[in-house]
Amino acid sequence: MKSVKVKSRKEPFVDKTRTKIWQESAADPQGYIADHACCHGYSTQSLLEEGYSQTDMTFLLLKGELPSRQQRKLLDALSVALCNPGPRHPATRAVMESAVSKTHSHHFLPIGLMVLGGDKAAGSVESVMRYLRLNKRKRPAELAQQALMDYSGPENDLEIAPGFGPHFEQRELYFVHLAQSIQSTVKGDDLIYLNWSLAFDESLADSANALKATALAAAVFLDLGFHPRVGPGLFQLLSAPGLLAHGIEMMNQPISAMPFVADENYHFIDES
Amino acid sequence: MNSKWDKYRGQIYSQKGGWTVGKGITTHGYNLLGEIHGKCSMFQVMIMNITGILPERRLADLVEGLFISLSWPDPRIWCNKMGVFSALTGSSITSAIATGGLAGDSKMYGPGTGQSIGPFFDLAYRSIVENGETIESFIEGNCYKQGKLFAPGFARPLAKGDERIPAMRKLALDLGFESGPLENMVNEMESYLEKKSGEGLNLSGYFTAFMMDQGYSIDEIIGIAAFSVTGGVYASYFEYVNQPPNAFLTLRIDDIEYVGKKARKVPKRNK
Repeated sequence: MKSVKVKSRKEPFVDKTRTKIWQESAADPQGYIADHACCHGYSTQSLLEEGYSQTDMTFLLLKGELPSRQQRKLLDALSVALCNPGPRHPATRAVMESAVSKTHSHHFLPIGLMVLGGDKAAGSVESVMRYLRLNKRKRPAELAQQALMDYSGPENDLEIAPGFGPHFEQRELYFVHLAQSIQSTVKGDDLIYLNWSLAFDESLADSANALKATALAAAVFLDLGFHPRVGPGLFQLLSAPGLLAHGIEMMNQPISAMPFVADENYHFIDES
Repeated sequence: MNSKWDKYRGQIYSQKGGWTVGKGITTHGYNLLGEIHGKCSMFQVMIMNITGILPERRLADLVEGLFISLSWPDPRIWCNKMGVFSALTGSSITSAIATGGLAGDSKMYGPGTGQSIGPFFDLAYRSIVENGETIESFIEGNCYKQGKLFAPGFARPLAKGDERIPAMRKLALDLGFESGPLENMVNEMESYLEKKSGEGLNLSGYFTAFMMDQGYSIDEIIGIAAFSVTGGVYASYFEYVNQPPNAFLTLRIDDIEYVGKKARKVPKRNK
């Protein structure tokens, strides 16, 4: 039997964890107790007293600077659009089922966000952002025309392009309408990716494909200057309120408050 | 108007099996409590639930060997740290295990690496075994990015060489398994890399090659190994569950090095 020699790589690990985000000030001589903290240089206490919001803080934490009025308005609008995946979404259903079956309420968000993180949901936002970045200089109508020629069809909700696809094999306009609302309420020349995505969607209007939540989020994230790798987690964060709310609604209900399939509707299929 | 989706409303269709109240539980054609319980190992059942086929006991024992190989009670390992941190905040053990499993769903180590190992081994097999490319030519042409070794299934963090592989090879031999063509190929690749840079096969690489030779798909292999890191998470959790909340690698404020912007005045908020 071949033996194996194991040798340490002796990699130079840092002595201390470094961060640009958060700085605490020590209040005790031993240096364990904090009495003050700054986020990217701004006192959290002052931010609070000046009336900064959760949207401001999310932007500050991720970007290192406070948002402009336009950026806040855009992120706020997206927060409304994504606030709830809805009770038919697998992530919400997972939370509702676990709540009605009496898991702890502090598990609702981890459960919902794990399910939401799948690469057919929030997990895909990074690749949608990369797709939009790669194609933003191309004419959306021409790109859509080519994509339609290459497209094999909407079966199993196959996306024609990352973030653009069918729902139940049909064109669903829910997120198109929300994207249009964001476009008209926020306005501005710097909505480059949102404008491009809506133009691309318009060129798909005669097909079963439409802009989906992931494309809406990806476009807005890019217009806000976020890196693609921020996308999946930020999508999860903005969807969290709805997941939590549906769990809270169900947690005190009896297990009979959600359907349980009767034996006669449970069909065994011979796999042989 | 009817939709093709209507058949799934309020109806479940299962090839796996299920529970019929008052009659019993069937799983893949077996009666769970009558034919499986007490006769098969948990790992046999787990593999059957993934693949649909009840494997030989010896294969399940080899998979158990993988789980044992990864059951290090060392809280420096990243997934095990999840166990420690979960214990420190009073999270449940279930939460700790889920968290540790997620951390191990990594692109750098653990079962998550199967996502890149599978396609890489497929490519290597087609090139070397089926098309006759030499090991040297394949490695030199496909395994370096900007001069750095990038060969999924080979090398590991922190150390060169993997002491778990001889243990797994011995177990496989003891259980009567012979190495298959893919395992033979990765062994030859390992010999080349060892001579060149001291790098060897890693545990995920060995396990993936072995299981591919046994006919399992990469998705099945990743499924089988998905929670293989949990032994160490259990140990780390229970070592710290009754410790004071700051008893793990305690951090003073100045143990975090702040390298960001200097303190600045908060501007008036634009309404």
